[in-house]
This record gives sequence, C-alpha cells and structure tokens, in this order.
Amino acid sequence: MNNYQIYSDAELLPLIRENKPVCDFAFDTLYKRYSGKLHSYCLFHSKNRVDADTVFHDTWVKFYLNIKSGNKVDNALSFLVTIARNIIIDNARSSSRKMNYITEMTDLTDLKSALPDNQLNENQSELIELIHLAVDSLDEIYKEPFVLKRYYDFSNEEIAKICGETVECIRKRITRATHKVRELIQSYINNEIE
Amino acid sequence: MGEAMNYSDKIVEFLDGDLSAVEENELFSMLAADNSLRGELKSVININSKIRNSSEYYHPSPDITASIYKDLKIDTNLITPNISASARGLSKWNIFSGLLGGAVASMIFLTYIFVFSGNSEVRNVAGNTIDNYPIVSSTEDYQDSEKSFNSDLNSNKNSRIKHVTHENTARLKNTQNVIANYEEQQAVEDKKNISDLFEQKMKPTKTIVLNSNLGSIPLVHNNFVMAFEPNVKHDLLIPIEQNFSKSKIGLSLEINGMANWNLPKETIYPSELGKFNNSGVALFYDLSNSMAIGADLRQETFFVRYNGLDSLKQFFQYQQHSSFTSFGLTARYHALNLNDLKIFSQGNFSTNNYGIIARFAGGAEYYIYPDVSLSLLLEYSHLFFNHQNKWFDTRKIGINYGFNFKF
Repeated sequence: MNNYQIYSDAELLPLIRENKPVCDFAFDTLYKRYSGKLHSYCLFHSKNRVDADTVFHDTWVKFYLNIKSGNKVDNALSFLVTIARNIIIDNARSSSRKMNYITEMTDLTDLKSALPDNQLNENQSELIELIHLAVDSLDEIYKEPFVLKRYYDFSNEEIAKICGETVECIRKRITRATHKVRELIQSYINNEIE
Repeated sequence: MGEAMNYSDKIVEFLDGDLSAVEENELFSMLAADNSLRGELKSVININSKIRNSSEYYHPSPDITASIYKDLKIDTNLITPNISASARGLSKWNIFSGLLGGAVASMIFLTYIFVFSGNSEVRNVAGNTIDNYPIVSSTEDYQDSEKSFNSDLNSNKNSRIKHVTHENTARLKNTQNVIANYEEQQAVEDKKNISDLFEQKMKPTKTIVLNSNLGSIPLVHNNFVMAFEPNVKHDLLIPIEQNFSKSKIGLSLEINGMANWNLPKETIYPSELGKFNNSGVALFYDLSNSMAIGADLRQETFFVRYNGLDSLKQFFQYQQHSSFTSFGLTARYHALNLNDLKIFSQGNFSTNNYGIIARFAGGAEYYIYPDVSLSLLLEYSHLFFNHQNKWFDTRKIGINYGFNFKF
C-alpha cells in the first residue's frame, strides 16, 4: 500500500477529487494532519466544547465538499481556518452576538477531556491548562492572530488575509498578545524552572 | 519605560523574524548591555516554545471524528494505510506466492519422478519392457546360434550367463539399428580382415532367450569376455536396451518466479497484489533442437508515471503501480547446447488490460535430472500504454528463476 503521509498538501488535495478509496485515504491523511490544530482553534473561538465540536464538524464537511467541487486551494490549513472562522461569525450573527466579545472561559473539564491524559504528567497537564486559559482570556482581536501565529505558525501576511487586517496591524497585535500571555504565565514558568 | 517597552516589543518581533537588519543590530547592542533584556529574551523564547508544544495536545474526540467520517462516507476500514512490507519486498503475499509456487513445482517434480520414471526399466527392440520378464539376478538358458564361434565358446553350449545388471543411466541405440550400422561398416572396411575377425571373433554366438514367448535378441560379444560384464563397455557389445527414456514429444512446462526492478524506480506501491504475484507459467513446444515457441501466463506489476488532465481538465501527473495478469507468446533460441547446460535467448510479446509488453531475455537451463532443468533468465520488459490518446511507456528489468519439465 502507499504511504499517503509523505504526500504534501498540494499532492493530497487533488486526490480528494478522485474515486474511492484514494479520496478516502487522502482525506484521512489531511484530517490526521490538521485535526488537532483546527480543534484548538475551534475551542479558542467557541463558547464551549459542544459549540467547538459543531464548528469543527461543519468545517471538515464544508472543506471536503469544497475540494470535491473543484475549489482550488493553496494552503489546506489556512483554508480550514477560514472556513471555521466564517462558521463562527455566522453562528455569532445568528445568535445576535458581536464578534468583539470577551470569550467565556472554556470549561476546564471540557479541555481536559480533549487531552490524552496518559501522555501527560500532572505538571504538564496543569501547564497546558494554564496556557489555554491565558490565551483564552485575550480579547478576540488579539486572540485570533496570536493563536494563528503561535499555534499554527502562519505568516503575518496569511493572518492578515484571514482576519482582513493589515500586516502591520497584525504584527502589533501579536506582540501585545505575547506580552499579555507572558505576564499571565510567567510566574508559573519561573516556579517550574526553580 | 517607553524605551524598555519598545525593546520588549523588538524582542518579540526579532523572534518572529520581523526586524530589519538595522533594528536587529540595535537590539543586540542593547541585549549586550542590559541583563534584564537578556532575561526577557530567554523568557519569551521559553514561553513561545511551550505554547507551540501545547498545540500537540489538542485532539478531537473519537465521537466527533466518527461523526465526520460517517457524514462524508469515509470508509473507516481504510484508515491510515501504512507502508506495507511489500515496500520492503517482504509482503506476506510475496512470501506466500513464492512458497506456493515452490510447492506446486515440487509436486509436479515428484509426480514426474514417481509416475513417469522407473528403476531398471528395460525394453527390447520390440518395445516390451523387461519388467515383463526380469532377468536381474537370474540366469537364463541359452541356445547356440546357428553360426559357430571359436572352440572355447562352442564348448560352452548351454552355458549359463550370469545375470545382466542393468544400468538405469545407460542410453543405447536400438539393437537392430546397431547391427545394421555394423553391417554397413563392415562393407566399407577390408572385407577379408573384417570378415576374418568377424568369423573368428565377432559372430553372434549366443542368443539370449528372455522369454520363450517372445522373440530373441542376438547378443554379440567378443571372445575376450566370457562373462557378461555390464560395467565394461565394448565397442561392439550390444547389451539389451536399457532404460530408454520415452521418446520426447517436444512439450515442456516452465514455472517461474521473478524479482524485478522498475525503471523509473517506484515511488508508490500497489494497493493490493495478485495471489501469485511475480510468478508465471509457460508451455513450450520444440520446433527443433535449438528453437522453441511457447505461451506464457504471468502475474506481475508495473510502475507507471504519466501526465494527463483530471476530471476538471486540470493538468495532473499520474503515478500508478498496478498489478496485472499478462498473456504472451514466446520464442526461445538455444544458442549453445552442452551436455547438461543450455544457453538461450528469447523474445516475448505479451498483453494485459493495461497495454502491450515487449520482452527480451537471455538465460540458461541446467539439467538436474533427465527432462528436469533449472532455468535462470535476465529479462528486460517494456510496457506501452495509451492514456487520453497519448502513448506512454515504462520499463523494468528482472531475474526469472524456475523449473522446466519436459514431457
């Protein structure tokens, strides 16, 4: 059998338009490659775990159907984030809530259930929770570019395109968000080092 | 404060690669002079690293994954194909087909041994086998021939000759043909000397009656051999025909296994293999001692790489590594025939549901047993196929090894 994991995104995306079982293999490879990152994005930008899962589910379905219909995509993860963002905005509009709200804290138990506990020791688990809370506490206009930069390694240009802002604006927001998060978790990390 | 904040921002921007060369030099100068700034640099590096690492711990639940796959009708049995052992040449089907091919070849070989060959099979000119009247370890009564022999032999009227030991590996000419040839030879030579010699020494003197119901075979031996010495070969000694092989009908069966190298080298591997992958069977008919034609059937794979347009008319490069059943015609020419070794070359034209194949090979047959040989070939195969009204091709070289059974 083929090892689809060695294929790049540019090679996998056209394979989704092929017949079974090739399209299944290609989709499965992309899913495993980006499901974690997309799920973290959905968690950061949703009220709770249930909403995050709904956004996550709808994002993948729309992604698959878009590719199948012939949509040309350069960057799979960027396309996924764009779809998720649009879904979140649509959901916010439909519930008559503005996008510029301070996100409710994600229930820590919901977050914990997403983490493979058997791979984490207690300190690691606590640190991850702390980082998540610190990032989640940011204002939306800072949180989104920060998550895309720190978690997904998007370039400032890609983030600017997704968020609909200028590159300079994105750069400044990322810097400020970094300082904010550092302030929140600095003392914990210092204690860990000591 | 403002300046400190400014340099704190520059630290973050430097780590994100957003500073110009001038700004970097300015920052490094400040870092060299300010301990607290260096501490802040280390802190930001540490936090960025931990945030990036924490992203690995986000996973969707299995339920949501199952829901997505169900809605998109993704076959969960096909999840995560791994590099199979076939990529490393250790597919369980490769091993199985090799063992099965070897077992089939061994069964045919053993069947041939037990059914078609026999111990001490002897037949006389008339075609009767010695099994009907075994003479091993037995003695027979002999009747004098009409012609006389020398006095010593004549005195052994009704003498008994001990058993004739038949050698299974002896190949002898037809007795009547030998006698006829001898008579022709005699006519050419000096009649006087030969006839004297023959009169004195070589005339048939004994007739061995193997079975009173059957004809007799004249036995000729020289007068230096009083007893029949089966292991001594004499020029004119014509013992009973021993262990003739059945006359060849010109048909042979060849069973092969193959090891191949694709040109170009494969980058993907077959999603599944045929049951007898890299195995083949061929039936040959000998047109002459040096020429044979045949038909073959083989299960094989080819790696192909070609260009085309996908369903949306976009340029697409195809790579496939498919498994085929190929049917072909072969012509084999034996360039060199030694006792147990034959060197040959052959050409083959095959077809399958993908395209047409031309093959050229050179090889050797080594006889390990009468009518059974081991064959080894080095083969070049070239596949031609058509896609979207364009012709493409691919090649492979391989080593074929197997058994050849002659009927």
